[in-house]
Amino acid sequence: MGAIVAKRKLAILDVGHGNCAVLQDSNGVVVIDAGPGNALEMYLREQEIRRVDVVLISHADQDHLGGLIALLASRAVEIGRVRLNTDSSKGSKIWDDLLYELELLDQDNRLDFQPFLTREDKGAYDQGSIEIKVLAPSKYLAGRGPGSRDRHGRRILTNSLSAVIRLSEKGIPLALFPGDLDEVGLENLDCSADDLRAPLLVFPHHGGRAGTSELKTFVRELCDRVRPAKVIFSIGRGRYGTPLLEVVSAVREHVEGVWIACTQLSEHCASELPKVHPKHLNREFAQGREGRKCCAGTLVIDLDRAEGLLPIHGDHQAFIGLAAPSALCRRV
Amino acid sequence: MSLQIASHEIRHVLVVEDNPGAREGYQYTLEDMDLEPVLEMGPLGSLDAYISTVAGRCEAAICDHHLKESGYAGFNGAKLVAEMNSRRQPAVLCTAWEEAVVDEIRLFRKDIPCLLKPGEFDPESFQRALEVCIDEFRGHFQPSRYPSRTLVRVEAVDQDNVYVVLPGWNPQEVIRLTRAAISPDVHLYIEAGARLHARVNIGAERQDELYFDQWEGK
Repeated sequence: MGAIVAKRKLAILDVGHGNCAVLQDSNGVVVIDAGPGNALEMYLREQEIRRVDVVLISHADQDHLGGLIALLASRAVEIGRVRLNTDSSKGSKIWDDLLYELELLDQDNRLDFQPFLTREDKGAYDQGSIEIKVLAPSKYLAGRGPGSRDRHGRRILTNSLSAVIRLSEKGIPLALFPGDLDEVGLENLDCSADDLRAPLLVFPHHGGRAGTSELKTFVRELCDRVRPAKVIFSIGRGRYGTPLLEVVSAVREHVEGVWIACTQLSEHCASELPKVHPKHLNREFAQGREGRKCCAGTLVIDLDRAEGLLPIHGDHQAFIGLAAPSALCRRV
Repeated sequence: MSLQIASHEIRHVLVVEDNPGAREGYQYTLEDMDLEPVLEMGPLGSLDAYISTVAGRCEAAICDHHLKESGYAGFNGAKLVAEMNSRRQPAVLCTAWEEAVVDEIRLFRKDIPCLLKPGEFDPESFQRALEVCIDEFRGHFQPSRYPSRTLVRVEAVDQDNVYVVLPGWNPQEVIRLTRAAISPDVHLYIEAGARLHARVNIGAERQDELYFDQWEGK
């Protein structure tokens, strides 16, 4: 059990191109994905968090685990447990890099690392009143592994195996983190319709194509099952051209009145950066702040107050009105 | 008039620039800021001899990089700026050569908190650059400058260079370091496939902004 956390909150960090969320609950801290660079380390230092009880990595792509390698090497915090699914298809050096750092700590018994994260882990990661439910992948899919095929003969990719994690409190859904879930992963989700519902969705694959052939169909099916009121795209300005107009349009088409927020200001929305530092951003660390690249920046839900998602919607919209003349979230 | 940044009162600003026209440009900008430029006409001799003359004459400096070729100084600007900053005298390097001479500047980049291109130099950017320097003196780093202990994977080596990847920064980009940029303490461990640790500002966007310090080998 970690140190008592003074302020319970959920932060969806602006890490540039990548995903990272930090849940500070009453009994400990949970990190869901760790995008590359030092953003996670900087956030934890800023929040004076010295122990992370659980790290859950959705899948083995560098934009979801690069920050874990950085955090492990930094020795900035003590880490309790790390869970992620192994991915032999990668055979990558970055995977070896991660194992190298994990082994260094594991040798000293300073870390509990297990190379699996499947839907059967009910309640195992809770650190207070927020329920952390891992909805995917199933043991079957994880056991098949990337590069193989599912029961319907469809190719299983790294993204298909993304852990899908839902947070809720007293049975009321709070947020869904589906990693880079693709259509094969979505179709293999073996959970009830209610399980996937969440008012806040961190959209898979940063709003990119994700190897999905029928993008609009994928967006529609995901949105129909999650029914989000708020959709977040965790993006890095100038990296990979995300989110795609096609994705944002499909989300707007299928979710009436949806609030769309990108962590950074996409080049599709504004060819130039704002001349002055925006004032609507939360105080929490955001990777894009220094270079004025933030759109919503780091998004925060204070779990002890009823303010909802911050920055305040109106303030964010005012910024978009001024700084993003071709905003994807407003295009007709 | 003077500029007050934290506990630093800046009135006199040293201008170290071998080109008289550029020197004049800095002079006008500094005067616009109500600061007093201290123009160095050269020749400035060796760094060791010169640095001892600086302290009493200025509270900050703006400095070009290429100073040796013209005979203006026996050292280049990056070395002077790093030396001044390590002595808690805010100094800003202003050069168009950042990327062209990345190997040379990287050796000193740890102590060069802010580097401007000549076209970027104006009152606002210079004041901001001084603030960044003084913040670092106080241990407050911008995210892009914060030195994190990080993993350094050696990809390849040749006689003069070591090619490395920083998995915690960008695993898809190989960085060429001269052997001089790596602490001699770990040269023994350098071979393709080796994994070392160093303090690196992995919040930086571009690889020419990266600096490496406090190397650790197995």
